[in-house]
Amino acid sequence: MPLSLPSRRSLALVWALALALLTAALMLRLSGSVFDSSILALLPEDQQAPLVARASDRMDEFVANRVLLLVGGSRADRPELSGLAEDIARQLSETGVFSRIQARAEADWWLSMGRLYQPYHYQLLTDDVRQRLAGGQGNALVAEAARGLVSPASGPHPAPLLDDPLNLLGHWLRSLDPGGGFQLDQQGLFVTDSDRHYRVITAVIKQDPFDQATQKRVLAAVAEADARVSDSAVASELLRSGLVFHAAAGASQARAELSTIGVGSLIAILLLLWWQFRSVSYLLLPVLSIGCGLLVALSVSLVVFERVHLVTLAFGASLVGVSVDYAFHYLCHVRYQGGAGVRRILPGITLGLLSSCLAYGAQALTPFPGLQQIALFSAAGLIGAWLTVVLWFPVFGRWLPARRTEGWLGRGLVSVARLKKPLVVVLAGLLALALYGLPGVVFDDSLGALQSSPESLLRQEQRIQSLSENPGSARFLLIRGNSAQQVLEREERARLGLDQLVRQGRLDAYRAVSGFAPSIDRQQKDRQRVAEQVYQAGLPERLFQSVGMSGELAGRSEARFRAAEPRWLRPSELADAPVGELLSAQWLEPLPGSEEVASLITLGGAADRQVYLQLAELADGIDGVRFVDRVERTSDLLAGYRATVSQWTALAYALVLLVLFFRYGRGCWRVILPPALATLMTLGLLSVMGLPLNLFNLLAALLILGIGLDIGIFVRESGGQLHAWEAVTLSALTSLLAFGLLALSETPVLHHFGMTVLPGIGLAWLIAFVLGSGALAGSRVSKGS
Amino acid sequence: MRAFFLIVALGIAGVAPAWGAESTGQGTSADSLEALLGDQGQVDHLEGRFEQSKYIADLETTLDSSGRFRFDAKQGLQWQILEPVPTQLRITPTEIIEEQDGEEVMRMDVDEQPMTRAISEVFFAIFGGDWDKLTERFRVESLTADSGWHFRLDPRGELLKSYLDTIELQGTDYLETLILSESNGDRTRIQLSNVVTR
Repeated sequence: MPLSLPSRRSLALVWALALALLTAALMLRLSGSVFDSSILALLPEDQQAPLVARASDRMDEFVANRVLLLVGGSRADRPELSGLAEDIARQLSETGVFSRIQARAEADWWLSMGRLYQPYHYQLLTDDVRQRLAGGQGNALVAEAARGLVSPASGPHPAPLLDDPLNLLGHWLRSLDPGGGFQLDQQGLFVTDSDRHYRVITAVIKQDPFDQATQKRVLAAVAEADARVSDSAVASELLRSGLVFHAAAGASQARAELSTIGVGSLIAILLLLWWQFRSVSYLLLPVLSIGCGLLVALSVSLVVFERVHLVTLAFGASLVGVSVDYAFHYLCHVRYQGGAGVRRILPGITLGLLSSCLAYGAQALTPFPGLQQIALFSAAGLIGAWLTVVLWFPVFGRWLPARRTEGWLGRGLVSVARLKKPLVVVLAGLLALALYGLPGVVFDDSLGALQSSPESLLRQEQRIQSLSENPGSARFLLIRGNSAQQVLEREERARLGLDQLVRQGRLDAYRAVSGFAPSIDRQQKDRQRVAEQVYQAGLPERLFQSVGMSGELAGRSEARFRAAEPRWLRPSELADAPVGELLSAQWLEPLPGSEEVASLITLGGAADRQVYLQLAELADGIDGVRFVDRVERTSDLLAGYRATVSQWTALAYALVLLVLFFRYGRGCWRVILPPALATLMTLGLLSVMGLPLNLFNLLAALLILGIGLDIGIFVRESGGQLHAWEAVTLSALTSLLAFGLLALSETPVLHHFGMTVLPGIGLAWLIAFVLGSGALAGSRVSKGS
Repeated sequence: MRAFFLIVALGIAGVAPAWGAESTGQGTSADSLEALLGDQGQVDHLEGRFEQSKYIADLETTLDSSGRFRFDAKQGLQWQILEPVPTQLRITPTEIIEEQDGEEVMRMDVDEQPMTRAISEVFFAIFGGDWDKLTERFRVESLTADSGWHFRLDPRGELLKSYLDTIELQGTDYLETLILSESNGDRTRIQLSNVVTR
């Protein structure tokens, strides 16, 4: 029933008010941080996850702001390299981008660590010393200490001789790792690899490494350092590692692609629409409906969800490709039929909306927050665009000039319709090829497949990892307990297994807080060992006698030991030590209202993937210990999403089919076939091309379903009229331009998406055209009215 | 201990000086040192006996050791302790090897520990006549002596300073005595004798 103009106007006004309210709500929310980029935010809720997330965040926080530069050259040029590294560090600090730069050693590293441990030297034993004492090899320790007393090349003896005759504290200090797997000399941190020598510069970025201005300044500063290295006669390379480099590379790639692919496709779409409609008002209306759709989608999502994930935004925005269908359908209709009303197209676009909402909305029922968000975002956006078309377009549409002639597109379609036979042959050929490929479809959910950092950056990163045995933040052991001591004891149990892996050469290294502050239990036991296996066993006496000193000294030494009141070292005392910063990244204090303490043991490189299984097994065997593999977890997550999306896509097809059956009866297959067959063919063709599939191909398949359905429904509802074909063809073309061109992207996620949309929508259109363009082939192209 | 080794190296270099002639700007200049030491000529090889007496402040006692040393420009330094614990030490520009009872008990890359590299570098640089290297690490001060020469080295680097207060060198024709004062109060006196050069 056609509405009167005044009631149309008041409805349009109501929609305007609703949009104004939504805009206000959105503005309020946008002030805070509402976008999530952590992949963990997409994980389904799980009992352990909050702590894992906290631990991961802590690692990220620590890793994100750090930059590691290695100045490398020949080993023979070591002093010159160290001078150069110092110059570069000075130059970097002058830029003001970094809060802390370190090329020189903290000269007092050994000294201050020695001072820290000095009061506890009777209770800190290295594994090696403990084993030698237990194995009755005390004499070897005595001989070593004796050599230390007379030999000019022994290590430092940090505690007074009488307090620590066997230099146990010296053994302890030497067993420590001064900095992230690097070595320490008078000039600072370094690492050596056969005849190569690298000086290490560590820097901490002052501001947010994801901020574009910060990235620019960091890159400029490092470029200067690079120039210094190229000018230098001794240094031959500058290796860099740091999240900021990857973030900057990603951002600059995204910017470059936005300005080429993005702007390119936008211009192409505008040209296409201009060519078709030759009127600015025809261009403005689709933009209006898309804009309102996005506005509704974003504000509704933010009302329901606290934060919206960036993945949601990216894929939710692809609904634009679907929502613009309603606007095109209206415009093509108005252009031929005149009159501003939506009555004639209302059934078509409403059925389109209903089926698309079913297709997207079904995912709201899955347990994955990411899919729930995409479902809501898409459904809200489509409803917003539909309301805009239905409520506003009749009001604005009166100013649209009617043409009543086919545009170039209509004429083109009519000509193509006459080539039906060749089209069928092409389609059949493609179908045969796709069917051939379909059984060979493979899936690859690994995170690596989505890695988009430049090759050279990844190579440098790997090189530094292998040089430093530096732990990555992607895998670690998470240890939880009800007290700090329980956590330390559990760490020590886990370390037995880790030590074995290190001895077997399966694991490069690891770092644990208990390696710097053993549990009190262990300190007590070690003190007992010292009492029995050092003093009662008479080792000090043997030592003093062997170097010709008075045996009476041993008595004095033992008296000192007896007199020393034991105090126990706790992790909190490491806070101000040179390793404090490293360790604080690995220690999680209890949250308010909780007793639970947790720690992380960071892991160096592993020999192969089997090690991860061993680590998981090791963790399973100890209470409160868990192996967190964020790479695996993310890949599992992507695989889970993929499986869920494919199941729900199947369900969405079933639901849509049901709705279509009510409307069209047995003829419904003509509507559902184009998207269904196009999707299957696309997957088959991708397989023929040897491309493995992941979540993002399947998300693209949902877009094919949305647009493919609209093609079928609009054509069917209009009885195959030319204006409907023009509308769906425009929609297909714009979607191809907007999303298909993403196939050119170097960003893997976007590339996968584009590679699916491009053939998918093309095929959906082609199948629908072959099935339903019969009426067109016979139609005469009119020359004017 | 480290610093002690350093002084051994320096001491021997003192007997076989081939100083460069550049002014250091601080302490005694290279010129005056050269003048002080006289022309002792280039030495490729030297060996002799040493007596070491180390005062350990904490124990208020003295630890004596003695043995033989031999330096060869090609093979590096051998420091052979005969009493009280027979131990042999070999230092090359890249490695330090410690042997006891003919068995290798320690082999250390000079890179492996802080200071070791510096020590090895200083030693070989001095023997090669690189005065700049020495003044990079130490401030050199000449002290008055009745006969022969006597001077004192003060470390510049923080790390070295944390172990070592001063090194004193005395000699007439060759280096005879060196005294090393560590920051913990220990004092090591090394007396060289029967020095033979080739």
